[in-house]
Amino acid sequence: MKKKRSESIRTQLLGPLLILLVLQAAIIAGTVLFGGVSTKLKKNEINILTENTNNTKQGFEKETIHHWVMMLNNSGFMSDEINEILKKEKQEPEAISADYDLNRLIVDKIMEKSIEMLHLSNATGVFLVLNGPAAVKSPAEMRAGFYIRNSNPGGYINDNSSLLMERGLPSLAEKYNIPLDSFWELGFLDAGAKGTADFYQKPLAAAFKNRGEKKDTMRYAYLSSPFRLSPKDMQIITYSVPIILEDGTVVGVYGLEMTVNQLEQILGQEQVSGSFNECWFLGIREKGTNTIVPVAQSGYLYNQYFNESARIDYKDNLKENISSLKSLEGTKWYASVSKLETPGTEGLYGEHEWVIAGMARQKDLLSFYNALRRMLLSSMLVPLIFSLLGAYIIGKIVTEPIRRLVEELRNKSGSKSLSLERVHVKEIDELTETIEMLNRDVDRASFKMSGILEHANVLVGVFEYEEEKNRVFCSRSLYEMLGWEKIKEPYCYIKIEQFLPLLNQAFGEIELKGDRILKRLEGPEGIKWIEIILDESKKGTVLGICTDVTINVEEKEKLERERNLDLLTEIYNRRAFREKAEAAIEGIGDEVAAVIMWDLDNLKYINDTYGHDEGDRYIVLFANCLKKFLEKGGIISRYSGDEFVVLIKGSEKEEIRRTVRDFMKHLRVFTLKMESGYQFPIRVSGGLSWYPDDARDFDALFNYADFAMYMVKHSVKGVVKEFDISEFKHNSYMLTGSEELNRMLDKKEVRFAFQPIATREGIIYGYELLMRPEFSNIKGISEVLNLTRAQAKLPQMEILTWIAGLRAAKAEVEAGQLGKDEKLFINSIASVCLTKEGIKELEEHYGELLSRVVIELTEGEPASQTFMQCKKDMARQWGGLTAIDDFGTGYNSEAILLHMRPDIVKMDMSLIRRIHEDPNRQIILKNLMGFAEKNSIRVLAEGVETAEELEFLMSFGVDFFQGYYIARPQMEIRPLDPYIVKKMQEFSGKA
Amino acid sequence: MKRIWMLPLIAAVCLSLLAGCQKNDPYGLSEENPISVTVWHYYNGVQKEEFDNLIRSFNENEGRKQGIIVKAYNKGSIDELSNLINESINKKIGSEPLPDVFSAYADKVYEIDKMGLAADISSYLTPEEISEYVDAYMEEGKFDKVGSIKVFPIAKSTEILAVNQTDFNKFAQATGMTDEAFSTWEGIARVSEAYYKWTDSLTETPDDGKAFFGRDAFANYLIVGSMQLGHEIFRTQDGKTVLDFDKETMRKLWDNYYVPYVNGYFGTYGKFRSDDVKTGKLAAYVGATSGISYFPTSVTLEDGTSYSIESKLYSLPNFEGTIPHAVQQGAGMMVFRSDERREYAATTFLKWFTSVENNVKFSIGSGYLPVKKVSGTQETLKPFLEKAGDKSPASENLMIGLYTANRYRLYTTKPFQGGDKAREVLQNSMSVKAKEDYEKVKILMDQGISRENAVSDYLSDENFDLWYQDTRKQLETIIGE
Repeated sequence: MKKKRSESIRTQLLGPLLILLVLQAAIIAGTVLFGGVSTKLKKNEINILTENTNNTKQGFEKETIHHWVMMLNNSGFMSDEINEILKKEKQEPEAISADYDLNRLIVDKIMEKSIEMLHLSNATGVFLVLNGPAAVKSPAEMRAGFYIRNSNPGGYINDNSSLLMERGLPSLAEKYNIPLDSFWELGFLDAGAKGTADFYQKPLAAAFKNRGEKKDTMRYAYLSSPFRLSPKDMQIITYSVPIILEDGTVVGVYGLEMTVNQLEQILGQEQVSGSFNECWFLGIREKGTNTIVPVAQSGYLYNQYFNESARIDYKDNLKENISSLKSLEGTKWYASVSKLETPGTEGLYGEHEWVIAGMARQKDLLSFYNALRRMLLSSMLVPLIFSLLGAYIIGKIVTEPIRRLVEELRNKSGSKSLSLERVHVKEIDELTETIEMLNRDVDRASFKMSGILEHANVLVGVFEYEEEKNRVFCSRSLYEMLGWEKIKEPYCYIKIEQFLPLLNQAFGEIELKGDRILKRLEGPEGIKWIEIILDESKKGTVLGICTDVTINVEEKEKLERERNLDLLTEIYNRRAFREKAEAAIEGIGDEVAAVIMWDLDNLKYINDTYGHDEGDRYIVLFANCLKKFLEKGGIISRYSGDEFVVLIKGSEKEEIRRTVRDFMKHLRVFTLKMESGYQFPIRVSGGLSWYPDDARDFDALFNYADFAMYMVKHSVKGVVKEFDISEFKHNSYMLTGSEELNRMLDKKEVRFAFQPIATREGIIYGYELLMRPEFSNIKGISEVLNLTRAQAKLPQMEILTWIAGLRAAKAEVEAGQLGKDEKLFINSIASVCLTKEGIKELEEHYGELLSRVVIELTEGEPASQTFMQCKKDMARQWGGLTAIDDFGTGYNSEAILLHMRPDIVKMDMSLIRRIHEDPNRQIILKNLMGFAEKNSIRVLAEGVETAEELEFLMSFGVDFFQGYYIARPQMEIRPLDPYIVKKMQEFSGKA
Repeated sequence: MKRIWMLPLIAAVCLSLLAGCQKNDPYGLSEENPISVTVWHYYNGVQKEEFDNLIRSFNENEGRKQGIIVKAYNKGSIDELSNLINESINKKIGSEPLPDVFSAYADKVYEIDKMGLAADISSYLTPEEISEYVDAYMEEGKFDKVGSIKVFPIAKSTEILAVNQTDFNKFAQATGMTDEAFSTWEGIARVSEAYYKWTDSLTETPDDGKAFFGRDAFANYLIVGSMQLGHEIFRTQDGKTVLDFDKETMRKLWDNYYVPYVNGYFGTYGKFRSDDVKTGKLAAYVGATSGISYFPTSVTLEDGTSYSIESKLYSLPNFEGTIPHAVQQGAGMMVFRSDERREYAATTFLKWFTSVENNVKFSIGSGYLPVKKVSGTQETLKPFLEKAGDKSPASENLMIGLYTANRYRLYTTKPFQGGDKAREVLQNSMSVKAKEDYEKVKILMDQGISRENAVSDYLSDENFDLWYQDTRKQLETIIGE
């Protein structure tokens, strides 16, 4: 079980308390901050704005548009009045457009009622514009009518003292006792400033255009954007309708005005809460956009943040059901945008809509929400801090007496009979008593223990080194074991100053560190091994247990020796060597190293001739010689039977080479003395590979050394050769390919290619069967042969050639690719001959093909008379032919020719190459041709690669042709290229 | 157990976190806890715009900081406003609740103060602050001996002569008249007569001359004129109002108004004389400096003829050989008595409104005169005048107004019980009679009688005596003699 760290009561108290509090806090936070409450609170706060906006909107609508619509709806009286006047004056409606006197009458009549209306409505002004002239001498375009403004909208005042006339005849102003305003004018004149005349022109135009009827009046209602009646006048908006008579004549426009100032006042009044945190504005929005052009506003925040804004863009936040926007300097706002129901803003006069937006800074609107969140967080944090503090203090109160007790205990520990002060806490005092009791028990127990230790068979010495208290506990057994003075007590305490010299005297310099120390003591009774097991469980306190392990150590040493050493030679065995060598290579640094593989040359001979005992002696003799390398720090090993390995390090290669040379010299001195008195010299082959030039890892080094040794073994023997990488690359198939070769030979399966041999006329005379082994490590047939030769597998190869070759030929015959007469040129190995069984097998299976066989004998192969004769016999017996292959490459071509008298001579391609240009080759050919003709030998040119060569050879009378020009070796037989056939016929015809 | 001793601490911390949100403002006013103050006034047109602008500015800045929102409403003319206040005080059906502050002349305030409804402003002003205002203005609002102030002066006005210089020049060139005559009432009458005759001569039609002059606030003519001529009509003597309606003096005033009027040399047509100048019916008038914004830049006749005009302002004319006198008018603001919080809020606004910068701004825009001593000085005014244009009518108006205030004896009637009504009598008795009699003259003229003959009856001493006695009786009834 894992030992649990002991913790202070304080921590023990604090931990659970803390967890409890954090949990509590987390639950509160979870439910309030992240649960529904918080979201709902936020939503509520946002809703306040939306609701306020809606209330404001409704109130605003009631105070303005609803009022106006009602007023204008009741304006039907006007057309009646006008009709009446027309009747009385006996005038037609058309007269209005020309007769200013008539207009004056109409204006007078309507003004009276309008003033009453103005007092009743919430409007700041009322106007009538007639589609006729204002006065005799006024500009022609100036329209008649009146425009009266009221500075006390909504409140009835008896006299007209709150009124001002903006437009209208002075006589009417006099009549109704209305003062003229600063910018008073006689009538309505379109001064050309943009939009200032829209308020009457637009509804007029709309009514004219649509031929409106009286009942449709409200359809043409027009709500203007803010404008100024006169350039320096205040900003106003108007709501106007055309006046249409019963007969459909449009005679003018009637409407109400409200100053932007008044709009702002109403907006301010309707603003439900008196809160400074919200501000409002009324504006015009292009339908379908989120951009509002502000018209009127209320609330100081608006002026503070949006005074400069000619337009306000906002974004809809669907999730919170509110819009949001940013003021120019980047403050974030919530905005609740509500569309006003305003007949007369849509359709006829473009796509505008009036909106009221309530806005509040996000931080203001959510201030309570944010404050609540902050408060909750702090109310969680504060108890946490206090709880920690409390737990700390209480912990201290509880732990203090225990701490004092512990302190006392610590000071008194070691003393035989422990007596402790009481702290007057019941539980703790009980604990104290128990401790005293325990101490006595321990005392007894240690006494017993010492006794047991002493009487046990194993000698165990114990000491406890307590740096803090400057004392060391030592058991009597320790004294005895280390041969210190005898003591009577089972144990004793001594000072550190006394202990350390004693320890040093026993072990020499020693440091009490680590887990265990093994020390050799040389005493009068011989060598003694002492193991000290150290346990520093607490800093400054070391418990040491000393055991006499002499017997163990000796046994261990013996075992190790047996494990690592070769029993016969008492040098490292293969396993130990590998271990040591790898370690050596690892720690080599800048030095070089050589791995040398040795192989005793004559062991087999000695074993066979003199018996194995002598062989063993031979091995031991060599092993002893090898020990010379030990002087140079080498590692030596018997690797197997007669194989030894040495690893030797040196500062440079030359140094090692010198060592090896010295060794080889040294070897000459030793001989194995036979009973017969014959002195058998030691003869050994060696291969050497370099670290780090050849390889860096042990296995590669070993393999290379082995390869180098192998190369020596298969050549000169008795020398040491260094590894040569190019040689290795070249010949490594020797090592690696044997497996594949054996498989091939066993299975007797290998593929063959067929290369056509043509006559002078371009007719196929036969095919040379070319072996195509598929080896991964061996390239080319020559390597296969080399390997076969090296492995002494040539007979097997010979039978493979015959069997597999003929099998391939038979398959081609059966496939219908090969005709009945073509010759089959088979490359026979000159230095072997088929056995009788082999011949018999061939005759059995491929009897029908044998008469077509041409046995090729390689001229380059050293051949023996016997084998050659054997093959000639075979050919004769089957009715086949013989041929000399590669003629012109051997040592003694002419001799063989004489000797063998083949049916066909195959001229090697090295003689054919560019023969048409080379007189020397031509001479050889000429000679050969002469000889062949006389001895009825036919000549075959190998390696014909160009048309020139072919033509020249033809002219010399060569019989057969083989080579890339004629055809390449083919895995499946195909006819000759007709072009080549034609060429050959051409050349031969010439010849 | 171990957490109990912590609880008080936790509570303390929580409290301290919660606290600190509220600032201690006087009377618990703050941005979060504002009070709204309603103001009724009689400002109209440009003045209203100017007034509203200042109120908006207050609400957005000073007012917001202090938690005071001011809402202002125009309630028609000063008389209409006065009526509405009465209705509200009497809780007449359909009347609105009383405002916190309203525009009023001292008379009106005096009346309301008698009912114990006017708040004492001096409690909210330090003596230093009070002394910043022109003493005479503050004096107006002191009705008792303890020194309480019931009217907060916010803007004052006096009277000024405005002339359509374009038309006058034509006349002057033709007749050799100069504007020297404008300094006396007698001169005005003379010029008017000459103007009538000159305009009459321009057409074949006999007696179709045009009136030259008219005036607003007719009561001022009688009150100031009488004062100037040595008789204060309503004189306070030992706490009682004594009538000094001197016959000779009245005859002089009669001769210089009624006589030219019935002759057609003077006239009144529209609501204000500035309207009459606008419509080409008069060429000059005397009116309050505060009406200057209505003085036209062009004349448009009933028949549509229109032409631009130059204007010129002159100091108020006086009677020959008298010390110049002018009326001091312009309503102050009265604060209704309520709780200290409201009264404090109201006076705070009024103080802000009469601070030098705001007061001068309002004055220039509206034609009123600022109420603080320092506001009337050249140094203070200079930047404002430069901004408005040194030669603009507004600047000229202010300068002449201030000149009048400095060089003339400014006079205003002491408020007294019935002062309102007495003033109304003075306002109408002569002016209305003049207008009515002129109408009668016109009827006679229409019947073919020459102007001279038609007028002659009205110029008799009997006519004057009748008027004098009638008016005197009316006044005596009001004063209760």
